[in-house]
Amino acid sequence: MNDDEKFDQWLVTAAKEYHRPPDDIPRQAMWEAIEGTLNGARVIPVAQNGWRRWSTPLSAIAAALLVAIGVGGGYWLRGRNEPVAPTSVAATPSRSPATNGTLDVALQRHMADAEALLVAYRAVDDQTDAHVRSWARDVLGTTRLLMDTPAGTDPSRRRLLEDLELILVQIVQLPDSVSSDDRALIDRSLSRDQLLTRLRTAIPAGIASGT
Amino acid sequence: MGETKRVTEAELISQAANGDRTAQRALYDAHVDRVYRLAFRLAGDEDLARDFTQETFIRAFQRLRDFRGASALSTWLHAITTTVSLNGLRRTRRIGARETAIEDAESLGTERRVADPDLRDAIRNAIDRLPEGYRTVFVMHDVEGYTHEEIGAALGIQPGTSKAQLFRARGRLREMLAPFAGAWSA
Repeated sequence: MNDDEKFDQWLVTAAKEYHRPPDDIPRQAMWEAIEGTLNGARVIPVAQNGWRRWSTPLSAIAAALLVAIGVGGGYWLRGRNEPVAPTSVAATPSRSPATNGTLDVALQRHMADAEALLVAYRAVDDQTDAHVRSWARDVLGTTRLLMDTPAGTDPSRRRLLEDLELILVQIVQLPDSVSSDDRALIDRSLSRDQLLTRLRTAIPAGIASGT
Repeated sequence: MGETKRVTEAELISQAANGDRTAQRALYDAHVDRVYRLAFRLAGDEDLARDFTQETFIRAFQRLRDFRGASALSTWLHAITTTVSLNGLRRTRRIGARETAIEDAESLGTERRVADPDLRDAIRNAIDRLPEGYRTVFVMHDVEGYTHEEIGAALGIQPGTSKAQLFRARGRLREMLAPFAGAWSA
């Protein structure tokens, strides 16, 4: 046995200790929480961690700062006695205080890319060709990356990215010869989640797919 | 025997998809241990593992009509588990933030080679420091015993990619654990 093999064998044994789960799994407590949610009750997450504790106050502070800047800016403009030019506001999706312009643009381009992919997927007949699956794999990777940025913390965007991720995983996993049932189920998920409509709503006019 | 079990699970899935709570409970009982183990291995935290397990089953029951049956239900559930866990960990950024229950690992029969607490900490820290993709594949394959096909299905990657990531993960770990080379070369 060479050194590599010795190391691999040793590692497999040693790593069994890594994040070793407890023997007592809280099955009943978890089931009650699941059942409560399925029955429509509100679930309080077990893990009250730092991110959750701070996200609400930080959002409130950010929102307050935005309001202050808006009001202060208004007073400043009025104080100079200059006519305020009417502002042209395009119909853009809601903007999270946590996101910045660069990320917004990246996210919007990604949405456009995802929409183009889903349209291409639906246009393919019985077979999902390798190109579409490979494309879906790329978009899946970017989706996961974006979920890790501040752009992915806005609740509605987050939900959209998560729904997109699930559909992409289904497309990536499709076998070479796809049955009509396989496609029908993905199509049904697409329709039920209104994913294309939601993606299009999130893409401002003028943003094109990057592919 | 196997056929009988498969049909039974197929019936349970059908009933559970229609909201039958008893069928959902039966599916939960059959799969919860493996789902929880995977969530815990990825999270290293009891509370997070509970949250991820609960979210996995809630999403699964809500989407059970979409289950294609082309793969085993367990494969589908583990795909949801990894998605939920990795997304949750990205949000919370608590990978490895808490002590694990390593000290309670007396029931394992593998202790003699990993008894040194410094070495155990070094192994845990080294695994925690792996890039997310490497760590996930390593934990699923080398720690929890998933095949590359199962990992590929769960993560939406090719089995070959899973193999490559495992190879790189082991290489990185070997570099990081070089000071303890005596532990495996003896």
